[in-house]
Amino acid sequence: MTNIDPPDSVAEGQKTKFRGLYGKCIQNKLERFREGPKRENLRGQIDRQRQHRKLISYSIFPFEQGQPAGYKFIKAEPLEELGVPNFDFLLWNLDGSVIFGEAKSSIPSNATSVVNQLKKRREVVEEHVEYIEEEYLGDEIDHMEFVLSTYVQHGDKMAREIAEEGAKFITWVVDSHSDTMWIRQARPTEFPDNLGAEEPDEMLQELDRRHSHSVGSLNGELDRITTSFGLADILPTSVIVDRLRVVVQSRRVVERYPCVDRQDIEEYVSDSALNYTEERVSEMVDDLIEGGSVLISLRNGMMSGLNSNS
Amino acid sequence: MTNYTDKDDLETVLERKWVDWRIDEMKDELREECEEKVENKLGKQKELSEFV
Repeated sequence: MTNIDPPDSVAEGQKTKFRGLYGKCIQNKLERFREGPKRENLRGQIDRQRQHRKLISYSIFPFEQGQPAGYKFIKAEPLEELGVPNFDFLLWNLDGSVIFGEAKSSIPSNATSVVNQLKKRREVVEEHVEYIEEEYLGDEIDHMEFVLSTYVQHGDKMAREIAEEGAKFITWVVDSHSDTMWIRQARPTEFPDNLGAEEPDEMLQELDRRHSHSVGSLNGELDRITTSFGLADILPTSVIVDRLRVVVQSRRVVERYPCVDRQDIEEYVSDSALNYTEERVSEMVDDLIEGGSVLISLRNGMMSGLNSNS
Repeated sequence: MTNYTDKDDLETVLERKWVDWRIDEMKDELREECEEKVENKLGKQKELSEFV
């Protein structure tokens, strides 16, 4: 017998029939529900989020700890508060030049989709220049550059795809074994249509210009620069389980009992070096507390109502 | 009650609970689909019997 209350719309005389049909339907669906692979996918999601966060950390570390060619790390996920597609980080040299960076820890077989995604995000940035100037920099932008940061094993593929698509993105690659980062250029198999040069040598020079930074000293400083991970602790657009790590990390042990309060979480998020405003930190902590409450309250139902196959 | 002292252990527990929660959500969606499907089916049968 299926333990379900038929909805009010079902007539009294039909309730038993409802239970019978519902029982068959749900039995059929649950038999076909492939729980194992779904659990694997969810764990994969957590892992991808972790790798993404790690790559962002690698990409911004030199600009948080130092000032390569005058560039400083300004913000993670610029424009995320507007709910528009955004890049992962923003750097600024205090002299009118900014760099928007996107971290891609894994690359799909169709790398063109990544380039197209970056092009769209670039358009969004261009539509919000005034907002960025007013809210983040307090100064005017004279020049913008866009970076795709990825792990070294994907570097050639992405740099070549970007060149062949005729896109103006610069590829940074991170080697997590040696904790170093550098700029990767790759020759395209065909020259893109939009090159403003006729001769092959000029075309190659134009490609080099297009895929390196206009502030020349930055190209030199980013040549196998030492970097590290661990800075990007919380990203507002991560899945909730990734953000809830912060609650775990900010917890204290008082007389053998673990405890965490709002102030602990706020301090942890503020110290995460990602330069969120006080107001934004407060909103993020609200989301964390709400997300944590949902997870805990739903868990009770889950424990009694489900038979986990994991 | 387990008194977790290691933050890595806690993260693992958190991840496991989140996966359980998402699986539970997916199963709830299936239950809702069945409820709607059977409700519609019975509603149509009722309309048909009234028409006949």
